[in-house]
Amino acid sequence: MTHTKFTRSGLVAAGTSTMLVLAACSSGATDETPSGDALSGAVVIDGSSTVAPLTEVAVELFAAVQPDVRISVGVSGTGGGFEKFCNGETDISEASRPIKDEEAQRCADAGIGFVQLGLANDGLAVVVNPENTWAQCLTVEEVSSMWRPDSPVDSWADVRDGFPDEPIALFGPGSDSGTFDFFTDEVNGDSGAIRSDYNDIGEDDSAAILGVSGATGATAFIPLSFVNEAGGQIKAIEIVNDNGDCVAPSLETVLTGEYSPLGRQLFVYPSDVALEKPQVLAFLEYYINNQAEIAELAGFIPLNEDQEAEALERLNSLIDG
Amino acid sequence: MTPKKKGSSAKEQDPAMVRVDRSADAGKVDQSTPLVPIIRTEDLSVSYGDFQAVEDVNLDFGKNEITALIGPSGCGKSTVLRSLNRMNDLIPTARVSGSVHYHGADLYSEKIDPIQVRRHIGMVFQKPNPFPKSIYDNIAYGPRVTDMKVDNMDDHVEQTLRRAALWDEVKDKLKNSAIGLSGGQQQRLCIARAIATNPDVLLMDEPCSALDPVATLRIEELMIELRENYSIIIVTHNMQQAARVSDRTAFFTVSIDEDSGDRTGRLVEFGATSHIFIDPSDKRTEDYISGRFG
Amino acid sequence: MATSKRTTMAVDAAKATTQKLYKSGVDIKGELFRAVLLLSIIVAVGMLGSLIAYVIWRGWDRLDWNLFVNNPSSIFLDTAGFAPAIVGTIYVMLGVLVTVVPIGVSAAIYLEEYADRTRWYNRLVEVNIQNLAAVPSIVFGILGLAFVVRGWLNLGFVAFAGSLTLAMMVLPTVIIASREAIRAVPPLIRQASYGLGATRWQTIRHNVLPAATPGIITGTILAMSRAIGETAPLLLVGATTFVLFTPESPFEGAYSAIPVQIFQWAARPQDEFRILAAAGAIVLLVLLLAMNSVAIWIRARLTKDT
Repeated sequence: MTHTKFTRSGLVAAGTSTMLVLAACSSGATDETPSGDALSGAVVIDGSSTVAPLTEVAVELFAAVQPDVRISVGVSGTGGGFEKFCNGETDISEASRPIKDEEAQRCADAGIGFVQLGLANDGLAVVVNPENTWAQCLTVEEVSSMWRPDSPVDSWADVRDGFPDEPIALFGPGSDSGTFDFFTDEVNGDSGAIRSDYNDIGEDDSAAILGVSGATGATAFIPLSFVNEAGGQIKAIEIVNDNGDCVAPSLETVLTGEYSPLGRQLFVYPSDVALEKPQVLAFLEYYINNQAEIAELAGFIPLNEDQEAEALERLNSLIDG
Repeated sequence: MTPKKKGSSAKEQDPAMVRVDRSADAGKVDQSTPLVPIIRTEDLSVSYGDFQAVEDVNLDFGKNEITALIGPSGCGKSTVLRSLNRMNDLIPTARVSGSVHYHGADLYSEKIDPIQVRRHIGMVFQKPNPFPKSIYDNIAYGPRVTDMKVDNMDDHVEQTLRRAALWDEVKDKLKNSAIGLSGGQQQRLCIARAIATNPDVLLMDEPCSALDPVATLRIEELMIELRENYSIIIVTHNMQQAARVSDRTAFFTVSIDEDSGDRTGRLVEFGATSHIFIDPSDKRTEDYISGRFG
Repeated sequence: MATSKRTTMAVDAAKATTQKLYKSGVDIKGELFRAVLLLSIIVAVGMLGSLIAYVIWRGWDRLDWNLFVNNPSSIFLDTAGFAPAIVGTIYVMLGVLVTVVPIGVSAAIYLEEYADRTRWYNRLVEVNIQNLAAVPSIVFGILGLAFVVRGWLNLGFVAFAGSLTLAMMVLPTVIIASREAIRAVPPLIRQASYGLGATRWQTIRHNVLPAATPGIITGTILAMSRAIGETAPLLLVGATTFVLFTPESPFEGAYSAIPVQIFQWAARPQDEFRILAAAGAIVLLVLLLAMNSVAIWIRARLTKDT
């Protein structure tokens, strides 16, 4: 008895505040959802913990539109999520990488059809001063040599033989940032591992851009979306991926997966069986239609128009097929 | 009957008034008194695993008599006592051969249920072991578990406690835990608990060894009173106690096999207590009783 | 003559004893031992204390009523709460309690009172129970996923599946503690009961179990305390990290649990989430204390009666 009571008041509290944000942020967003019918039933989502924050925001906003749909988000990891997904145990699987061939095969063997929907971009760029002519392309190891904990590197000459003896100035976001976590995890191998004497610009990524533009030897890591905004003040350098290719960061290279490991797209995979449930379809349509707002609230790079259109098209292809 | 009991229990209120001289009560039989057996053992032997604890015991226990089993440590007297109500069954390695006759039945026959045996032959242990329950529940335990027909449990508890001369001491605290009683009171409660199921034989395994002399004397007095209605068999290390309370005495000793060194208990002599203590037939009995051995 | 000699000897012996009674200086070894013991308890209590102090300090800003009544949120970090996770944890723990106590106590009774320890299969069972207690919890998670969520029981990702998985994990604790408690019941009490013509079951029911109950409760407290904080096995058997509703029942629907929620939020980059995770640790502590207080109260009542 008691738990229903306080949960209900919890729901009301969360619901009301969600409404407020909807009214404030996007007046047009809800219009596109099939809000005519009150839906109910469950939607079971599981998978990557990187994607979870994005989906959680979507779930929270959707709950204001369809409060009776019971959506749960688990974090079994991308692989663990696909295992359950191909077992028919979840409706939607989240993934921070594309599905592997053997995972797709297992789903096929189980007769589970699915489609891959990219719902946000997640990437960051290593940027330098435009006057920096030597660093065109770096390996992850070279980037790490500058940033790893207790790194003694203080000159570009220490990074690679042949680089000029130009002092390095490091700018980066603080430990509260998702960018920080992603960068330290991918580059230094451990989320949060970083040298302590870099210039911490907190949450304000534009401060890093200012810093880098002010010194020839400066470098920083910033979310990909900020590179375009900065115009010519800074330049993004290429990063050597697993195939040994130098790849410049861009939405395209993030999308194709070529820009690795600092770029990736966040995916969700609905199954064809699940899409027969109206509440699953409604949720996904809502998710795609409001992806920009959702990505922003969750701190990711929203899809561009083409990506959004493609996601909708893919979703429809699975429904029609 | 009842007024007399009341008188005796009232007297027990004051330890100073406990009668020390029991000679008038004790030893009501002599060698010539005929024995009406209630339990009879035939070639009773008990072993624990490879160890032969006691061998070939042939004994008759008299109805409404107190029989004392005495002898040095390891002579098997407790083992014999415990085989009379099949308490030895609780020890997995115990093996009993021979027979124990009770009301014409062999207690070790396959048809006999040991649970039923213990309902007729009660037992009081060396250390007072009341249940950690109320005094009332201690008494009511036996009748309850044995589904005894009791018209009114309150009355039955009172009757039982009166018979055990404990009523006056505990009547105001029946709902109190039995653990709060003194050692002597606990042991009398255990005796009361044992007679609550109306057995006709009471086995007592050194019932006073954990008690002080005053408490001991009270128990002895109680035993003599209970003899009217029950047949009592007592194992004791205390020679004076055997002499004071028992009608007949069985003396056991340990025989040591010269080859193997195995120790086995044997019955040496059985007779009226007055006879055993004053004029034993066997040299070993005389040595033990006079303190030269054991 | 002989008497006087004996007396002299006795007096000498008494004198020698008396002299031994006087201090012969500081007992260094004894004092050292005492200091080591004291240090051990300071370290143990100090670590616990600083841990609690840290989470309270870290979670202080979010120690409010919202924490208990609100749903989790990835948008409104300042008011996000643990409500579904608290209810989920209560469901899971109730499930653990109702399965682990009857099974654990029954197993303990069998092993202590009925099993013939000379039989190989009984010894095998005993050895296995001891070993089970040392199996990492994640293994029970895998087992739960294979046999409880899927496989034999096929319950799906519901709270009761989590209960059964944690119950398997803590069952050895309950069995071992219950066996100790049953074994500690004085043999004299059993004999008294048998001596009155009670059957084995009556003896167990009326004497052994009541006397062993405080010990069984202690074992259950330990087991429940271990279970309530487990994260890894629950993640495997499908506890979710984000639900905006409480589960319909322990047998259907998605559920969350406090440790799983803490685990997920502690890994988030935003500091609000980290504070929330620390506050969640306090919620878990409060729940644990409440649970144990009830058990200790029951135990105290039982021991007072006897």
